[in-house]
Amino acid sequence: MSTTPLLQVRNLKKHFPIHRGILFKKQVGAVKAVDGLDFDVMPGETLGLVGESGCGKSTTGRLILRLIEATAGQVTFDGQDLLQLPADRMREMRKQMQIVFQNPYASLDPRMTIGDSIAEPLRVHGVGDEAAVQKRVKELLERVGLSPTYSGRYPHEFSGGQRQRIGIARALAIKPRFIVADEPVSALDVSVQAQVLNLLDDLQDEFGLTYLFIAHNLATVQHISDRVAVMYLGKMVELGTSDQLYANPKHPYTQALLSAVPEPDPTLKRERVILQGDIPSPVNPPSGCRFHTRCPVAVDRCRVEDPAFVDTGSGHMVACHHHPAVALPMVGLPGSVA
Amino acid sequence: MVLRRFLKHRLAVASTVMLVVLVLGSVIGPWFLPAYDAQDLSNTNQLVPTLAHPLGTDELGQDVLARLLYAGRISLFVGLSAAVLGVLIGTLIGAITGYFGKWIDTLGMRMTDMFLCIPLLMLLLVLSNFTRGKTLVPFIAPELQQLALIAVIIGASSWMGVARLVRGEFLSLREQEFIEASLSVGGKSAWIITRHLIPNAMAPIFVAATLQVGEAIILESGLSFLGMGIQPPVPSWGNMLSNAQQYMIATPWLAVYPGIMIFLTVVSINFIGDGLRDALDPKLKS
Ligand SMILES: Nc1ncnc2c1ncn2[C@@H]1O[C@H](COP(=O)(O)OP(=O)(O)OP(=O)(O)O)[C@@H](O)[C@H]1O
Ligand code: SF4
Ligand SMILES: [Mg+2]
Repeated sequence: MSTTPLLQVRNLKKHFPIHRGILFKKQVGAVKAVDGLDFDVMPGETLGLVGESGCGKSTTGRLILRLIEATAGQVTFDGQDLLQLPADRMREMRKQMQIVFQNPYASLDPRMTIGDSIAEPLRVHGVGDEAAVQKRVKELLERVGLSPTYSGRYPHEFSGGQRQRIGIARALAIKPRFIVADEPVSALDVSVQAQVLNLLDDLQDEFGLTYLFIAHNLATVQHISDRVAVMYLGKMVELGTSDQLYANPKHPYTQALLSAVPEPDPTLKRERVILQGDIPSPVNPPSGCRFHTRCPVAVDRCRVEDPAFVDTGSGHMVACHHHPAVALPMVGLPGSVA
Repeated sequence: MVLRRFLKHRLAVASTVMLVVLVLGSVIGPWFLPAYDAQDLSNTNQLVPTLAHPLGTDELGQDVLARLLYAGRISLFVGLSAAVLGVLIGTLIGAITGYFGKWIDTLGMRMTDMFLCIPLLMLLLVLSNFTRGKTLVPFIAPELQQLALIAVIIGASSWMGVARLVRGEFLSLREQEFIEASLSVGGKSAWIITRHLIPNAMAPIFVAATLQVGEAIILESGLSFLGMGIQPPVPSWGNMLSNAQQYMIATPWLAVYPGIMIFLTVVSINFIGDGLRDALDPKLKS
């Protein structure tokens, strides 16, 4: 792995405005879906992005691919500042960065044959003549484990797992370097989840792809990710290699998430942390540390001061006042149930 | 699938048959009738139906059946082309406003509202009366120009409904994930509109187009009835009705024929539209 990141994200923010009034629209607030993200993705690696539903994972993916405009921040891909690129240059960049969508039912046009859907990226960019496009479609269908004879069929004729394979084939069509996989398996039956994950893993080795792999639980990304980032309410709370994170989770939120993952080895019994309360609204996130309303080890300082996202050693980043461990050691989590 | 559901709609199927008969009758029917000379006024005026003139003759001694079928050609042609034009304009404006949204949408919709408020039809008709008989386009028969002009006038004043419909469809379709998917591979606006949005909005556009044909025929008949549409000697169902009006007491059936034709055509078209709406909407179970 090289040391220059393929993708750099700095202070990325997305606030969706909330309007009131019919005739004269007035902004009355904003959904702070993503509120200041900093991270890098190295070429060839898989960065897992994990967090509860609504914490801003999909929004992050969309912002990076510039499918929605950011409120603030910088996204640098291969040395280019994406958010400043003019539209035509951005279209060119799309050949290098693709997305596999969360919902395989909604992301394929119901009135387009799957062959045309897979060929769309090639046609949009005018890559190759019609014969070459057809050949590539057949090749891609085969590569993702579907029969090339299916290319004339419509999406409704396929199962969820098959559709996700079609979505993957489409994302691969113009040979991108980077793929945002937005919960590619969460809408699928457990039995087919592993197949699709394995396919993504194989494709990564074969084509040297870099993934930003989004999921809402740590178990899904554990095996596929080199590093994992944990998000809570639009911010990152912890980021580390899979080993660092799973063996030594430092943020109370990560600890809570991990305690919910079933442990295959019974000798390594984890303490089970049950989070109290609901996830607060991203319109009015709690002051100070956003997690303080649910944090079992919160102190007074947490309510007023937002902890910085700092390196606690070997690139293991954490945003918590307990780290670097200043005063309170992580013992006897109150509110935790053995 | 769609066809099967359409065939289940009895009224729509019967209407299709009826419409085919009407169209075929108008288009090829006149060839099978004995040729008649419009200038030949030797026939008895306002004849009751006989074998030679199954529907009788009118006040000028012209064969009513022949005129009715010729009028069918004209009325159907004007209705169809006006509807096609109106749907094209409406789709274009609705597509642009619905796709781009924001100020373009506001502008487009205020414009549509404005067109709904000003009596465009009347203004255009004044213009048409003004230009009547003048050659607008060389080498085309003045009668044909008149027909085309009426079609354009009706089309140009009846696109607003379709524009609103298409805008609404586009507004909801463009939020769908497959549109974002197209954007993510680098699809430009024109590509997204023509490859994704229009195909997905086709069903309601098609239904609207069907109903629009019926409306255009009624409008043409109404205008011709008032003497502002198609002018005799070119026959149309509307001006035949208008003519017959003067002889209501002596020969009331002369008014009945074009009335029945208009009624049958428009009713058939509306039932077909209903049938299509049901057949094309996958949310409605058969
Ligand atoms: N277009 C939008 N307009 C307004 N609010 C939005 C929009 N898109 C997302 N949001 C809000 O932003 C927040 C983050 O949404 P996002 O889709 O990124 O969550 P997520 O982490 O992907 O969740 P999930 O696991 O359910 O997919 C949510 O509160 C959501 O309601
Ligand atoms: S900063 Fe405070 S509230 Fe936030 S996670 Fe750490 S201890 Fe909990
Ligand atoms: Mg999501």
